[in-house]
Amino acid sequence: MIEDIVKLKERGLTLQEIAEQMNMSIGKVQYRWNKYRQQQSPPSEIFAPPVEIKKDKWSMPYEYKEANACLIPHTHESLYVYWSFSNSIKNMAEHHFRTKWEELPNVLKLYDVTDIIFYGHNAHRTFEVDLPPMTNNWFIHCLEPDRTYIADIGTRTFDGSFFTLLRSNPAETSAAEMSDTYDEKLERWKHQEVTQPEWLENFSTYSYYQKIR
Amino acid sequence: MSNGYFALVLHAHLPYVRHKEANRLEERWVFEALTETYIPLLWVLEEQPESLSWTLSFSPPLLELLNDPVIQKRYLEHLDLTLKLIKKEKNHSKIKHEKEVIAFYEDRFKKIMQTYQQYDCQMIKAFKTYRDEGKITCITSAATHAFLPYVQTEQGLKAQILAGINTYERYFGEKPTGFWLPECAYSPGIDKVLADAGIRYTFVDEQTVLKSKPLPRKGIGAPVYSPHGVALFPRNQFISETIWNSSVGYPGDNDYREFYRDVAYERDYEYIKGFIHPEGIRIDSSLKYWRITGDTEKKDWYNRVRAVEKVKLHSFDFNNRIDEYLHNNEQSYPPQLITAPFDAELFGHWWFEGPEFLKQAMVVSSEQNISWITPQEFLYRHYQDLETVRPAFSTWGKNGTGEVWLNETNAWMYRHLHYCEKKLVELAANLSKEKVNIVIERYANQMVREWMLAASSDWAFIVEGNSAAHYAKERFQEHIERFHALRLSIQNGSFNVNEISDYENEYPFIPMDLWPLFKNQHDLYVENQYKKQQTKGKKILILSWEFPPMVVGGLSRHVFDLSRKLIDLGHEVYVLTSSVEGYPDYEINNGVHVYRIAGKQPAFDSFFHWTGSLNFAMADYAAELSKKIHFDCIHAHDWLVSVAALAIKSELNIPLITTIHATEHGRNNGITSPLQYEINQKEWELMDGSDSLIVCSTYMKQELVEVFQIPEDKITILPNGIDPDQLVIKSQKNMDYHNRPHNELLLFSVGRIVKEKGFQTIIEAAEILRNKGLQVKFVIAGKGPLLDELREMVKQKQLDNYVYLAGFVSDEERNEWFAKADAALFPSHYEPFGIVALEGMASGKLTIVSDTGGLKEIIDHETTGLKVYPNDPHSIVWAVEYMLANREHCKEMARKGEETAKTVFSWDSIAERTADLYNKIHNKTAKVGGMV
Repeated sequence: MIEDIVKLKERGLTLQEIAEQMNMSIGKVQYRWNKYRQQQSPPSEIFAPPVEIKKDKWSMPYEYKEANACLIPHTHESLYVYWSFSNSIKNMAEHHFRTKWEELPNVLKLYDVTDIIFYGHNAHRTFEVDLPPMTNNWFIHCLEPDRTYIADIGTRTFDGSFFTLLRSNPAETSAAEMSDTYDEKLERWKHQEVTQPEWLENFSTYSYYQKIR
Repeated sequence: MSNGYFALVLHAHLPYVRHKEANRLEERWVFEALTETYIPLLWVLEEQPESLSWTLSFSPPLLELLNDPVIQKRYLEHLDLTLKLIKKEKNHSKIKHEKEVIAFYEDRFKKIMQTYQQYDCQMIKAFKTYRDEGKITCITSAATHAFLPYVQTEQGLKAQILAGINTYERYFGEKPTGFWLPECAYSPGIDKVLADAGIRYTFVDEQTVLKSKPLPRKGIGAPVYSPHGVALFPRNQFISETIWNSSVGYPGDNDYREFYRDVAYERDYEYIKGFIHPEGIRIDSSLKYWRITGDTEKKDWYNRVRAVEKVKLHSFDFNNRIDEYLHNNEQSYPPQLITAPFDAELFGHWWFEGPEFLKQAMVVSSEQNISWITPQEFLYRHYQDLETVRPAFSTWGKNGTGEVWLNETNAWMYRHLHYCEKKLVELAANLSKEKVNIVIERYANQMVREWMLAASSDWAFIVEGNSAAHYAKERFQEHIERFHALRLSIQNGSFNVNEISDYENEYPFIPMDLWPLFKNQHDLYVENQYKKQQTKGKKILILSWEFPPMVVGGLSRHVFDLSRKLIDLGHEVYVLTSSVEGYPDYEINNGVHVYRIAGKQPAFDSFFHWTGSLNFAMADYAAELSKKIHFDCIHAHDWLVSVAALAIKSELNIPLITTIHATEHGRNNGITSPLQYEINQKEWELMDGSDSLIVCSTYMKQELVEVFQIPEDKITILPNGIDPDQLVIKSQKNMDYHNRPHNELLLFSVGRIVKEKGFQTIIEAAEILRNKGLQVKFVIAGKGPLLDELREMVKQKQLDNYVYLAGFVSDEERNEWFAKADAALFPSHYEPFGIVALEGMASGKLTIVSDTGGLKEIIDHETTGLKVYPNDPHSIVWAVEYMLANREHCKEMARKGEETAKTVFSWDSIAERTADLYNKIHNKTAKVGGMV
């Protein structure tokens, strides 16, 4: 398999395109490719080529090295989440668990947080998905319509508890059915009993200095 | 006629496909749309009945394309070439039917050329004329037709909406009142930005309104208001289907022109090669001579007469359906409204006869008195009759969901788009600091453009649909790469006028100031706030899992006292600690910035993982703070913050100083359990990773050297300090609470009730003293895991009159006990320092301590206090007897002890020495950094 990847890579395809051609996940291709490159690269002090000075051309990465988990509405019963880790989080996880990053299990935990202020332990319902290695995105299917969810990306402790590494924004599944029941939240909003809507509005006013007062 | 209305809305859009180099295939999309849709729509407007009006939306990319001189010039060339081909075809054709079709095309293309030139190639101006005449209402859409629910930030959403409106205003001279949501994709919150931008109405799918909360009483018979007051006009599927449904819709009629058969594919290569793509790729010539004919490969000649007949027939049918629908669904306040929105290119490009159909349908409507209305006019008349509902995320795509624009083939795109948005917010925050270099501003604006161009819903759609997927992918990647290249140029200072001009010329799109749309009020506030602040002292980041009001051991008090004193010395101190319910997550306490942080799992049932979770949150917080606060060093306290301390050190590249207050090995007299082993590891890693270590006693230093093999020169001994003010009794009211015989001795002990504190030895000593008949009372204050066991022990030995276990006491109560007591007694087995002993001394009481750990370093035996052997009740008995025998000398020792505590162990001097250490380490590491 690696021979095929190398061939395609030599023809100038991106890893994304190779993954598509070979019908593999990009994660797998990236993993194989990196492994291959590690094996190929000779000790630098012996074979180091003359240093070429040229302006680095930026090319699109497979993911960014930032701690981020983003949950996106998809259908009435599915959501999409993508994520990436910073080196800092990887190092801390290795430090805390005294286990190599690659050996830590990847787990996604989904929380139903409809109408609650979620602090980590008070979800209506939760479930966990064991993720294949090198995964950085997931479609979460078979959800209940008209609910609010939050996704955590994490790992498992030695005694089997879920340990959160990343937490996503909340996202909603849309309603699947018509409903003519009275909507309290809308009524309170219409009658100006609240200053902020009590439902989820998709757009956060993102600020760079979010945590600085 | 019926009481009700029909509203036609066409949305014209093409992705921005202008390329500097000529002959890009995608440029033909513009030519085809001009030839088949936009120019024929002008013909419709020329001839449409006076009484009718409809709505036409132009996306900003299309406006920019139509106004582009390069595109205009190339389109004229394209028309020329087509006319040449027609001529060649005319000469070439031998068949009667074919000749007829060619003649039709000849007339048509001449007319197209004439119309285009008549308006000086200025299509927008042409439509504007008809707008001014009231024949159409024009509106616009998002800047690059982004799928708005998948934009991540409010700033990004605003930029898409406001830049769209601005572009429209540039061409039409006024702001639009309506807005086309790309793909009719709505999600809560979009309406807020639209309303803020002055938009009064938009269009959604039928299902969006039907699944809103609550279901509106008129269903889709009337528009509804969104929560923020934008009118949402629902697409009427029943009526729309007559046109867009591929199997039953009018466009599929056998007499209409076949889209998929084009002369370009029918002729010999040699014959056609001058008219197709220069590289020999056959592309549509727009000359299509055949009709749909039926479900067959053998297509008949296109027959204009038959097609025009069908147009008439279908126009009548369409009007009948509208009339019938309005009749069957009659309503009042407001009257029934059928809204029929379509992609404009459906008419003409996909359905060749579409524009003629529209004109014909208008003629029939006007004859039959079917009222056409624009949404703008409808709102003007009926704005009071609309209900407010709460719609959810939905689109006009498959199943009304996002699945067309988000699936396995295109999901990878959103990570990049969101990343760009966040970087734009960051850039805007940085640029808001001072007056911006005009070249950098151009870079910033171009970065916004690149993000916008990448964000077109077209790319995700095309990648999904697989036609031209390669182009879509390439365009997406190109803009993302250009975004990052521009960002890199700003960052490394290589920005220059030539480079940015090249970038701008490549995609001359929306020439407005865009980056300020990514500003954020809070960021502006922070930039202003922090610009003013200049201090000479160091900025110190302290990590401690406990901080008042959370007090578990001596650590909390220690960190508090140290922090305050550092403030007195002119430093800035930022403490990250764990959250406490009921206390603010940020406060300035005695000048100290205190951040109380909760982990993502603040109720983790394993304490070890609870600290892990807290550490992740602390490191994240420190990184966030460091965006504005440039810390000089980190000061960590004990293993509980080990993970965060090392992560922050490596992230911020600043020195780490750690105070080791106690070790797991010392507390347990060795390491036995797995948890102890883990903690022991964390301790070692923290010690190993720190640049400098502080311990409170020679005893502790010895432990670090011997147990952890830490080099001696890395360790500084700084005793713990006490603040005598904290020991003052504020009220005298409880002083007589404990009546006791005049000559009874009272010895007070305080601390966590754990084994290593040695309180059980006191009980054993009390038993001996009782048996000797001596009048002594021991008071032990504090709580802890061993408390119940000690209580049981006192009960069994019937020592209730000799030993009193007070449980938890407040600081005030503790001070009172010190005042009442004759001596303070601390018989610990393990005590790295023994701050309580200092408190005993500072209270002016004779202090008796175990000859162990840090305790033995504090007291000079028989000079400033007494020492006893740890774990030896007889030694305590000895001390009590010594007190009874040497009352005067004991007073003298107490006085000397008090003096020592208040001078040698004052916080002022200890804080100064700590700050000296910060300086020393800072200079040392700075030097190393300079050499590498």
